[in-house]
Amino acid sequence: MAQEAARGSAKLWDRVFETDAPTDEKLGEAVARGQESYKVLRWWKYGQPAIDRVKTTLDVATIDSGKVIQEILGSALGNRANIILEAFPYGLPKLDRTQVDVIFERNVGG
Amino acid sequence: MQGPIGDDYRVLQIHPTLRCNLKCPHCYSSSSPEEAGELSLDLLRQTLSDASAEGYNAVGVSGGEPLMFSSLPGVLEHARSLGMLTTVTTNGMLLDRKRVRQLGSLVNLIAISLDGVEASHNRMRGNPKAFELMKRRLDLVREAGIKFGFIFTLTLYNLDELEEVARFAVEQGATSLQVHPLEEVGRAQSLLANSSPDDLELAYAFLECARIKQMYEGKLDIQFDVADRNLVRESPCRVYADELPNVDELFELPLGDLISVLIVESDGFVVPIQYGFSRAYGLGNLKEDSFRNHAARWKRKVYPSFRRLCRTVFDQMVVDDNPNQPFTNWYGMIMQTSYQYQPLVNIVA
Repeated sequence: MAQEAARGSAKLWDRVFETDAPTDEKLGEAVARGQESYKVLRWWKYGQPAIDRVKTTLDVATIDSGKVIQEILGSALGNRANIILEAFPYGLPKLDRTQVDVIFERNVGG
Repeated sequence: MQGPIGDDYRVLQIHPTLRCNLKCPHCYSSSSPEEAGELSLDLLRQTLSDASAEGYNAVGVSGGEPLMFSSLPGVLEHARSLGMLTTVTTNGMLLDRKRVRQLGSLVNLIAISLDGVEASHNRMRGNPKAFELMKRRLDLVREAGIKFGFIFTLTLYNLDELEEVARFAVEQGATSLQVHPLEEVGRAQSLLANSSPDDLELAYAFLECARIKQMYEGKLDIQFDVADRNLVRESPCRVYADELPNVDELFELPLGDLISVLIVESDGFVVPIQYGFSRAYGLGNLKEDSFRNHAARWKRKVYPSFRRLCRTVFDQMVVDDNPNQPFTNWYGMIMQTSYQYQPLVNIVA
């Protein structure tokens, strides 16, 4: 692709910083600074998005909801991720069901 | 921690067909409208059941264009009935109302390919309307409340477009942006030769990802699919290069504890790590035997060799070390190396 002969990084550097590209050493320093706030902890194959914030909705009998929530909190995945639970009791004329939204959330970006 | 994606998710990625509405020059599976044939629902249902029993808890359906695969809902439905998480990777152009409605309750995440700004995307997709059609479909996905992310193929030449892609992703309500280095396999091997980003470009790409992450903190997850050599050196298990466990114990472990990702290719052959991986390290063809039986044999006959291959790649990564360019495309490296070293089969009785 002749029109794309320049490296993307060169075009980016020209546009964002309007200076000459850094030396190898300066680049290394910048990477090290970047790694202080952003670490690449996992790398996935092409086309497979990381599944790091997954929402699951459970519909449980209200009477069982406490037990279900305890089980979720105690799950193996729960030990490695933040879990956000939102419970919505519903049912008429009496509240007999609870919708439990479970969000497993992990920040892969470090 | 085991393998590059950790051990929370054991992923089976399925390519049920190579049929696609596009013919992209960077397609690693050489998919196109001319391709026909697909894996049967029965075969895939059985495979999913076996994989679930082996500890796999997530399934990704790719292609080809998975929306052209007639049994997509059936596959996803079965995966969900097994408690698996589901993702679908698509070019997004065929996400019409009917398909979105079908997918709504069956997928955890839709991943949509986006190769740059509109002109670049259309050029890479070989279709002048690819971007516009995909964009139009996003309304339906949002309306259905389906989480979606974009996948950006990073080449040697397009890092300057990543910021615009991220801006578009945030505007459209995407939750994640996967930045994956171009793999020179499939069609890309001939049409985009020497276009994959080298370690220098990956170092710049890291800086750009960090900058974009800061710009959109809390709004967009940036997933940069490269190995950090320092991290790998500290924990070789991230690339399966730690000491091999006692081989007798291996046979008792579920396959998901040993390897993730596994790929089901469009002809039914199962390989580790990546589409197009050397079949010498593969599990076998699902049309000839069940996933369960292939898994049992693979653990015994091939896994030790696979681990030696991983160790070879690890050693290469450490030797190649340039401290100022700490990132490398592990998938590309191991894929290439898988063709250079043949496994020693049957080393375990």
